[in-house]
Formats: sequence, C-alpha cells, structure tokens
Amino acid sequence: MLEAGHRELETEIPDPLEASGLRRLWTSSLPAAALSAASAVVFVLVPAFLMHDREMRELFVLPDRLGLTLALIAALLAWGIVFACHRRPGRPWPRWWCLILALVNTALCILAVRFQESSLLDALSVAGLASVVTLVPRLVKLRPDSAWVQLIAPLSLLGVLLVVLPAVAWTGQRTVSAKRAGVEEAIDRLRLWTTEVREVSRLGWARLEADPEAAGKVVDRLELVRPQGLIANARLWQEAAILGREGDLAAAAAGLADAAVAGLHPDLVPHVSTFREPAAFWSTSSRQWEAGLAFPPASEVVGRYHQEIGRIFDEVEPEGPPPASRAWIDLKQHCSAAQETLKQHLRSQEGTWTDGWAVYRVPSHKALLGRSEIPLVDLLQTSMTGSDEGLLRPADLPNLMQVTLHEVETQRRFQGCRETGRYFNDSYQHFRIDCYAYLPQKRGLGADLRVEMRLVYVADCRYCTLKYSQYPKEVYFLFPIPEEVDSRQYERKVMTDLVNAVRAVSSVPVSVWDLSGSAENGFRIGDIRVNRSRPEELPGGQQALVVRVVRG
Amino acid sequence: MSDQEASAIDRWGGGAPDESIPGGSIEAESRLVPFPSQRDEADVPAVEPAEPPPYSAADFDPDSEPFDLPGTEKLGIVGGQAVGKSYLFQAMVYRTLAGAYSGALNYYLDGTRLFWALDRRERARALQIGKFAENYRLWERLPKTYRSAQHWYRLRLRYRTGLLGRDRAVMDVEFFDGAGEFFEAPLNEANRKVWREGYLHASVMVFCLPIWAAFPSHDMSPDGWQKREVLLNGLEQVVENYTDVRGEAKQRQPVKTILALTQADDRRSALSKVYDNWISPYMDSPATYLRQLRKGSGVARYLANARQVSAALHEELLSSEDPRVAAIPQKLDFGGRPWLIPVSAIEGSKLDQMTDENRRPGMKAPVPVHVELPLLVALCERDNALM
Repeated sequence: MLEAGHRELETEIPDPLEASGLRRLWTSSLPAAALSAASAVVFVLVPAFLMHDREMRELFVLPDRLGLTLALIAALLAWGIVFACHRRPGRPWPRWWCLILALVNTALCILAVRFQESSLLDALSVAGLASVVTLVPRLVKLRPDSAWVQLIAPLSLLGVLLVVLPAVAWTGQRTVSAKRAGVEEAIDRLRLWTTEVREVSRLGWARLEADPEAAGKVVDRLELVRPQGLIANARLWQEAAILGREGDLAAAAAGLADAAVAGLHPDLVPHVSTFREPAAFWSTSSRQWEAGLAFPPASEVVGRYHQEIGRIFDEVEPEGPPPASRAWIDLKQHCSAAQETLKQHLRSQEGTWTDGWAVYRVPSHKALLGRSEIPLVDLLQTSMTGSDEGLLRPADLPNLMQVTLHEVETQRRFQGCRETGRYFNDSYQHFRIDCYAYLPQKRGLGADLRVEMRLVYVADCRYCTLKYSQYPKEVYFLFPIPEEVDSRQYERKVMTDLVNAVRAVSSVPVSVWDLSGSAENGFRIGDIRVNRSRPEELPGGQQALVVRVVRG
Repeated sequence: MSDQEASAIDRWGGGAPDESIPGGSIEAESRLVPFPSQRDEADVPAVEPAEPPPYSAADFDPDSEPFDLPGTEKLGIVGGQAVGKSYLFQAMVYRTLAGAYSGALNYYLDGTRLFWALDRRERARALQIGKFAENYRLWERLPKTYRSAQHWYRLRLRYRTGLLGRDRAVMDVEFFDGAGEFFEAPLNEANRKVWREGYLHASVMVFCLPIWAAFPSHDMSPDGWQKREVLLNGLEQVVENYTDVRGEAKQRQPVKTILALTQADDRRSALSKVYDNWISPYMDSPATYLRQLRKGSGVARYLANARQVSAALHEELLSSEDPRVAAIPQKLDFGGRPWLIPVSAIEGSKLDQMTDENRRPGMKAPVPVHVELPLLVALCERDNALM
C-alpha cells in the first residue's frame, strides 16, 4: 500500500529574482544603500522645500542659535554612524555618503558660528539633521530573512519627510510671521517715538524753573527713545524689503528724524533766558553774591533736553554700509537734508546771548557747527535783544551807554536779563539790568555763568528818583575765572577779547593806555573808559574778573 | 600524536611522523588527511575501506596558524546521515571561490581562504582552495564521512571595510565535517565535547534535511519511505542533542537557525513549484542570476523572494500530516523563527549518471543553488552586513 505523500499548497513561489510593481521599487537596493539614497533625497528635498518661496528663502532664520544646535546634533550623530558602520562589509557608496554627511554637518557647525542669522545655513542645518536621522536605522541589526530589509528605507524616508516637512513648513511660517510682526513692531515703535518726541517738544517749558523735577521727568521720556537698534539693524531692513514694508519703515524713521529736528527749533527748546533767577546774582537786599537755587537743576533739564533730542536725531541717521534696501538709502538722503535744517536751528540759537550754550549739548554739535564753544570775542558780539533791528551787543559799548532807562523799563528789549527794579544804595536810587551768558558745565549737563553784563543806572542826587531819560552810569562786566585756568592769563585774554570785540562792532576808535599796546589794563573808546576792577568772589569761592565801563 | 592520528596512519599507511610538525610530517599528514567520504548506506561496507589520500604536500600552502582563534564566527552545519552536510559545505566553498559569481556574497566578498585541522587544538593548515573544490567540480562523488575521518575547517571570507572602503577585514567561519551517525548518536562523553566546542557558541545553526524527507511525493518508492524515516528520526535526535547541550550549559543566547532543505533538485519532493520556480531556473541558467546578484538590487530582490519562499515553506510544514514535520519550526526555534531555505549543493541526477568514462576536464561544473545564504546570514549576524 502506498504511503500518502505531501499535498502541496496553492502558494506562490517566486523566481529568485522576480519583482514587479511596487515590490520592484522596494527591492531596488540593499538597506544600507537604500537608506543612503533616502538620506540624500532628504538632504536635497528639505532645502528645496524651504527655498522655493522667496519669503522663506530670505527669512527662514531659526531663533536662539537653534541652527547651530541642530548642526551640532547632526554632526555628532553622523560621526557616530560613521564609526559604528565603518567596519561593516559592503560597497563604498553608503560609507562615503555617511562620511560626506558627517563632514558637511561639521562644516555647517563651523559656518553657523561664523555667520549668524543666515537662512541658507539654517535650512541646510535642518536638512543635515533630517538627512542623518534618515540614516539612523543603519544602527539597527537586520537579518536577511527580516521583512524590514525591503521596508526600512522607504519607511525611513517617508517617516522623516512626513515629520520634517510639516515641521519645517510650520516653523517657516511662524518665522515669517514673526519677522513680519517684528517689522510692523519696528514701524509702530518709530511712529510712537515720533509722537513722543513731538509731544515732549510741544509741552511748553513755562514751569521748568518752578518745578525742574517734573520737567526732568518729561525729558526722561526722551531717554526711552532709542532708534539706533532699529536703524542699524541691517537684517531688519532686509526683512522689511522682502516683506514689502521698507518704505513704511523708512517713512517712520524719517518722521522721527523730522520730529527731532523740529524739537530743536529755537522757539520750542527750553531756555534759561526765561528763568527769573540766574546762576548767581548780586542781591540788592543782602548786598552779596547769591547762588540761584533753582538754576542748576533747571539748566540741567535744558542741557539734557538738547542732548537727548540731538542723540535721537543722530541715531536715526543711518550709518555704515547700506543693506540691500533702497528705502535705507532714501532715509539717509532725507536725514542729510534734515541735518541742514538742524544746523540752521543750532546756529540761530548759538547766536543768542543767554541760550547759545545749550547747542553744545547736542552730541553732534562739533560736526554741525564746527566748534564746541563760542569764543568770547564772538559772544560779546552776539545780540542781547534778539532782533536785527535795534541790535544791542555787549561789545557795543558806545550804544550801550546810550540806552535810556525808559527803553529798559518799558520796552523789555533784553532777553535773558534780570531787572532789579529800583532800589536805594547809599541814598542813591539805582536800577540795574543784569544780563547773563552761560557755558556748558564741565561736570553735569547744566550751565555755568560765563559773563554777566549789567547796565547800572544811578540817580543824579541823593533820595532823587531816576529819570527815564537817564543813561547808564556804568556798564559792568563780570567774567568768572574757570578753575583750571591761570587767572592772570585769563584776565589778559578777556581784556584782549573785549577790546577786539569792541573794535569789531564799533566804529569809534579804541585806544589803549598801555604802551605795549595790550588792553590788559584797560582801554578807551571815545569818552568811555574800560578798566579792570577789583575781582569778585562768587558763591562757591570762584573768582571773577570785573571790568567797569564808565564815561570820562 | 593522538590515538586518532595514529589510527589514521595505520589505516592509510605512511612513514614515521615528523615530530617537528604538529600532527606529523606533511607526507604523513597527506596520508592522514583522507578526503571526507560519503556513499549511500547500501554501499557502505561493514569496515571502513582504505582509500588513497587525495591530498599531497603540494595541496597545502606553507601558512599555518592556531585553529582556535578568538572572534571566529561559528557556523554549525548539522544533520543526520546522508543529508548532504559535506556536499553543502563543499558547495559553499565552491560558490565563494567563484569571485564575481559568488551569488549573494559577491556584493561583499573580496577573497576567501580555507584552513583545515584534524583537531581544534592543532594548528590549522591553509588548503589550496582550488584543490579542495577540484573533486566537486569534476562531479566526483564524495566518500561518506566516517567518525575516524572527521575534520575541522575554517573558511576565511575577506571583505572591504573602513571609512573609505579601502581596508580589508576577514570573517572566519568554522565548520566541522562530522559523520552523520556522530550527530545522531545520543550525547555521550565522546561527542559531547565536539558538540560543545563546535556548536554551543555558534551564532548560526544550519540543520540539514533533504526536502523530499519533509515533503515526500505520493509516488515515492518503499525504499525511499524507509530512508525518510531514518532521516526524520536522525533530525529529531540531532535537534534533541543540540537542545540538551544548550540546556546543560544554560545557554540562553538566541541563535539564528536555518533549516537547509537539501537535495532540493530531487524529484521525490512533492513541492513541484519550489523546484520549477526556485531551483530549476537557477540551475539551468546560473549566469543570468549570478550576473544580477553582483548588484545590490539583485541581492535585495533575491532576499525578498527567499523570505517569501521561507514563509511559504513554513505554511507547507504546518500543513504536513506528519506531526514530526509539522513540529520542525517549533523545535528549531532557539530564539527566533527558523529560516527555511531549499538548497541544491549538486544535481543529484547528474551525479548518479557520472562515470569515469564520461567525466572529463572542461565539462560543465555543478551549479550550487542558494548554498551561500547561510554564509550571508553569518556575515549579517557578526557585522550587520545588510546595514
């Protein structure tokens, strides 16, 4: 009887090399080569995906040096795979690809340290990491009879792409949105600052002397205006250009520049000439020199104001090599034009007797005005009356000695001067108008007294009243001597400057009575004598040169 | 000199051994090294006959090294009598010899060497690999492997490695050419040592069973059915011995097992589709397949199809009415599902027809079919070659 044999099942038995359809695709290479090919595809696809859009291409910048971190991780992982797999048998292409990937990621690390905020490098860093992650299955031990031999490469490719591409797209969109928001925020901030500067400059300084602390808080608002970080940010300009907002950015910056220039208009700036109390004055009641208590903090506010507004304009003005932005160049041209207006404002103010010192608090004053201080000889030639008509200048001694009391008491032509009102001194009625000129403090932002000029009116007789038609009995000059200067040398210079100023403004001949020709000991102009007098000691112990101008 | 060697000298004849050479003089060695012999059981005389030794001194290279080297990958090829273990090893070596036509191994291989030793404690002599495969190539029937003539071989596979692929590394694969009755015998003091030394730490175990024994056709002769019983019982004992050896040593390390369904060209097998689709095309035009297998895509497809064939054979085993056959996959599970590979070391029908008259130089050589897959498994096991 025959034994029963095995009944063969209806199962498909393939030819040893049979493959069709998708199977042909999955069996196109061994896992090591297939994973390497998948990794190469990822390395090309990811940057291509990121760079296809102009905004993504230019703006895909990862925050907080994340690109460097990714490149570092990718490099470490790639080198790990290189050394884990280098002893395995097989063809060279998978081991070359892994080595190339390790070297590329290492190079990306170095470049990421050197070049920050590069969208290309960040895209390559992401691609590098994704590419290495695609290769990670090479660390898995795979037997020839495992189904993963055919599946591992396509699954790795799909898995990585399905994770990386959406993640990259999402990150890219977020980055672009963040950049857009950053540009909008920059524009809004510039506009806000413009409003702030305009508000501060138009507030009015009527209460500056009475409440310098409150005025100081107003100026504090200007310290928060810091446009340099935005204007100098080349990346911001590039992003604005890519997003089509560079015009608005430049317009906002130009608006701020204009507000700053307007803020230094002589009519809008705070003036020490409006103060009732000067830095130091001779008190008629106490008959001694007194310091103006409100003056130092109030003048400091004036100095700070000029400094801050000037700084704001300087920071708005673009400097350095231009980024790839037409609007940036337009802004630079606008600021150059605005600078001319600023120069005019400063020159106008510099030419005033009392308030000229403040222009030297503007940080770029030297570039704009060509000097850090007005020479005394020029100061003595500036007007005290503020108008071309009926100009009265300290050096114009003959005309000064012709100013009637009526002109002084009723017409109020003098700016920055303080009237004493009528008072009696030694039984004679007196009237003075004291005019002060200042210079910037060496320490601090306020002003120090540079020159005091008095017109002194004295009644003709005891207990008589002054007549409106009276002329000044004398013109009195006080020149505080700076601490760091030799007093003799300073006195000599002052007298020289005074005589030179007098000669410059007056056609009346000037003669000196020193045979050397020096005016150090005095000089005469017409019937007016100009002599040095006994020095005065000001509050704080500072010495001052006194020069008296009298007829006779 | 061991008793075994002395016995071999007595059996094969020869002069006094040269003491300076371990194991005796080269000439004595050549007489000590008979080619493993295998014949059908019906032809085996009661006493092992004396045959002229096939090797001479010229068959060996001057190199020698200790046989037992650390880091050697152990590939255990075991099975009962007449299952084709020796032919399988011969075919494996022959396949690796072919260079660009090494089948699935060609993708990795960069050269091979073969070492031989009578005992593991001896120095291994480097065999001229062409000489080793000469009888196989000339369709010489291998003599039956007797217990007195069991040998150790080490096949050294060289491959490219390194960061740029310019370095060379080697994988040594050990093989014990043992007699079938040796493996089938219950564990005793004599064979336990070999089991432990040769197979306990093998990472890949190849169990051999002729395909027709697992899947007999309904028209097999009564003689064939009887032989089938012997073969199935032999496999069962071999698996039991291996299991016991592992158990005694408390060895829990998983082992990759392969069931090599040998003699897959034998038409006594009921699996005609396996023969028609998996064996015959390869055997009939090997160059077509070997050319494709030089490329990675060819190897990938080949492995995918081999996996499909293995899955199909698992189904066939489970559907067998013979519980001994149906239980094979479970018995061979030493930490993983066994891989079932139908192999043909040499075309049996042609071998049977070969005589001295029609054997001539230049005749078409045998085509080993799918024999290199166990070596590929060993390469993957040690070096994760696929990745």
